[in-house]
Amino acid sequence: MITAEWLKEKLLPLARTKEADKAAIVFMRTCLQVSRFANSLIHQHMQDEDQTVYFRVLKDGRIGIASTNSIDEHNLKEALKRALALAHLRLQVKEKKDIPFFKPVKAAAHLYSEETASLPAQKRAGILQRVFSGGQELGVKFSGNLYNGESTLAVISSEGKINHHRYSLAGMKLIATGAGSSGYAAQANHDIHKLGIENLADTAMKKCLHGLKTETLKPDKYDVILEPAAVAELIQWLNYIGFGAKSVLEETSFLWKKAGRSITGEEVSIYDSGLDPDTFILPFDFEGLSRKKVYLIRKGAAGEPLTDSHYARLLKLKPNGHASFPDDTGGPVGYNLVMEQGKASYDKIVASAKRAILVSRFHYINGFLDTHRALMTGMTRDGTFLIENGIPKSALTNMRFTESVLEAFKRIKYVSRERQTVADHLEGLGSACVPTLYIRDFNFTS
Amino acid sequence: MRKAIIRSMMHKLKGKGVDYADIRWVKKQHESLSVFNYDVENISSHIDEGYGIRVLCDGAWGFSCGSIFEEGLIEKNIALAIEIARVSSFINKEKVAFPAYPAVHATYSSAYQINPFEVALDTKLHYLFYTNELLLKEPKIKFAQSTLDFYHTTKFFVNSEGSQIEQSFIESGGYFEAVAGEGSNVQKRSYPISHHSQIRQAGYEYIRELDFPHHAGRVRDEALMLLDAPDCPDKETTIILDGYQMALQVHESCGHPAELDRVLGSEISYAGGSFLTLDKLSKFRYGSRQVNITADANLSGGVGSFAYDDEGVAAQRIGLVRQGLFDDYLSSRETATTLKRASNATMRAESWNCIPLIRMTNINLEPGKESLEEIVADTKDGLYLCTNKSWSIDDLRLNFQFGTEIAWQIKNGKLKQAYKNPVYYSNTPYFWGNCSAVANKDSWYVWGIPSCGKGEPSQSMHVGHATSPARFEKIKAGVRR
Repeated sequence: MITAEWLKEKLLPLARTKEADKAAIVFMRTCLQVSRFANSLIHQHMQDEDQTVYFRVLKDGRIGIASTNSIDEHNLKEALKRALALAHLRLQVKEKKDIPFFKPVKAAAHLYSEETASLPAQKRAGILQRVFSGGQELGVKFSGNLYNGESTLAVISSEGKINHHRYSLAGMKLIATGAGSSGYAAQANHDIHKLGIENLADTAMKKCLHGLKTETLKPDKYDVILEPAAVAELIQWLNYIGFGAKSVLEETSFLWKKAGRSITGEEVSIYDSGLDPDTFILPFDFEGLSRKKVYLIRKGAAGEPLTDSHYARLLKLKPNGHASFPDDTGGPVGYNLVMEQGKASYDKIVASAKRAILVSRFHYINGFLDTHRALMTGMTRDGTFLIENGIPKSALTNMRFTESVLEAFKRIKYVSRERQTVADHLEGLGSACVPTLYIRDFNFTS
Repeated sequence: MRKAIIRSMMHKLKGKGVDYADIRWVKKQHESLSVFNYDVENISSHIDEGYGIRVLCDGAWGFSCGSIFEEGLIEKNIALAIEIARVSSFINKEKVAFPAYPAVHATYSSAYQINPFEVALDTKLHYLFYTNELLLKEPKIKFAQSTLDFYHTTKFFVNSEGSQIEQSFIESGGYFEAVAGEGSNVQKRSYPISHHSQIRQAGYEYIRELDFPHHAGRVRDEALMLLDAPDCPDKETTIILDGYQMALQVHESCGHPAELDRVLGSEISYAGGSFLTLDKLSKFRYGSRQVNITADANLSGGVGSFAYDDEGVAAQRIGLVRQGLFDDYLSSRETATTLKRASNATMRAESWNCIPLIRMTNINLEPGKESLEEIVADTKDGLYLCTNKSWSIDDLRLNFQFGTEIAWQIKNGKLKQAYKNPVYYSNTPYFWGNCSAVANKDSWYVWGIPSCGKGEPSQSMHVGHATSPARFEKIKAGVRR
């Protein structure tokens, strides 16, 4: 186990190198145990345990970055040497870079469950056996994954400060399939006992069984009910193309020159906050700075972008603790996105629909079409239903939407009271807590 | 020293009664340099090393891995891989069919002339700075980025059948882009591809061949020209796709659906299934007679090339689509048994800590007879679409929509004005069925994509595509609003 004491003993002396003006070390370790299944058979079953140690060193305004996955003393020293060599290159510097000072943040101990971190393959298999048996009785097979493990993130400064965060994680994704239909359900939590596996299986199966009678709608504008997994995908794309300071600096963001001005309907408030308990808490960023709560859209008005120390300086803003991985050239992004809840219940939203398409999730969204308008395209997947007079009438064949998300967010009729945390640790860091949305006249193009 | 440890691990594994086992030791080095608006954005160097143990016990798979080469931890990981496999076997109602293959002893290194890791960083940075300088000569160019990436991967594979295979790959590549802007009108042009580096199995000589400075002026001027260009008109028309857009088109609408693990449902929870179901093999008309698509793991320079895959099977060249008829899948030792065929060697893992999956090798659209110039000259009315901007396709790989950075109007066999924000959209068999020409070898180019995603946990693979421009009739194009 990697403890704060181990980090202090092994890595802090390296961060205090005399050959740099400043240095910082980012340490990331993830242990994952994954049971992946298809057609109710476990076909990929694994454990993965790895770490990365990044060295960032500063010399005369230049930063060199090197990393290794080895925690062997010799290899760590070699990586530091490589970083120093890169920082010592005699280059012209237009904007001097810096490594910011940070204050230690309090560790959140309640996010770690020993049982979840180390649940063995046998117990996961037992859970899956029960899920598979439940499907067998109804002629449904399951594909998906069940995983558990733990993650550690630490940032160490040359001034001797250490921020250290350790948490357990678990998740389940279920695709129930049968007779050409499919239904989706997923959940992630720090505690494997809180995944609600029976409910997930039930939801996926119900969606699959509802999908046996399918019809096709012609491309047109339809009211939609977007469930949380679908909403989270739209918001993750907003994050990718426009919430970060680099896209604002590049003038490609929908937030560019819009601060305080209306860009969506007033029902929309989205923020990023590393300490939000409805997300997978990440108290500090990859520079060690506290991840502050930042409103990106507040009651429909554009907020401030997510910054790290470098982009904050370029945009003349204060850093708000959203530095990405040390070698990520994409700039700051949000890992703890929250869309504020509304007042309507999910059941009321569905019951209110005279004629609407209910979307469980999207597939392969792309948001590069026109980033100022957040124009995106994507397909529906694993549970698309036509609701008429508040009741599911039939399943629909998958449809493609092409829509400006900002404009669609001006046509929101309901935001649900209930929200879900959407995260997939097998895809990467980050989570979003989002509601269900009812949107009028959503543009389906094929 | 690592090789001796890996051999010793295999010796221990064979004594534990497994049906089959393989161990891969992988060491990867990646150097990345990026200059953004005449300032260094990133200079980084990464080294990653470890081993993965894959075992088949009682007809089920288990996988474990580690990066610390201590005897106690290795023993623990061997025991864990076996335990995981036995647990899977206990609940699985079907056993994995995994035919035996002959043992192989081989060593392979990809070809290169100049080791990119021995080229001075100053030289590489000067190349990037000079490219930035050329791009930023016009004030309306708001942003310029130039990037180089170099990879060195070494693998040592052993299996319980007695194979010992050592392979080494050097890859080099880069790209640059210029962003022109006037208010909310922002247009980008990139070279040679967009979003990420174009990579080859090659040394630094390939960076010289890419010749960024030679292309920087044209790319800059096209970005500026797009600011004043009209939107692409909405219409059903003839389109010609440039080589890189063809690479993406082949990747998404042929490469992925031909992966046999997707067809059999292994990827339903992430990447999806495939419309190329088993009943379509050797019967389904995938495209017109102009369409010949191969998977060639021996292609010189392709980043999907190797001597042996991560199951120890020799690299092959196979026909996926022959004169428009769908004829084969990308397969593994296990999945090929469903077709009563042998593996065509496409199992690769991103790194030591990943399970090998069926991955595209180099999926190529074989060249046609006419030159690109002849195809354009033979087109009365249409669009020539260049450089990918956006991409989206459904989970069965049928319904797609792509956008490109620029479209050139074709009128009476000549390229005319430029259009901005073009997209085209169609359905895979309809689209390929309407292919009316593929350009010849003169414009056939080996593209390398460094970021093909698949699997859970997600793996990012380097895959290759050799393509030339091709023409398609009656395709819907325009600007989607």
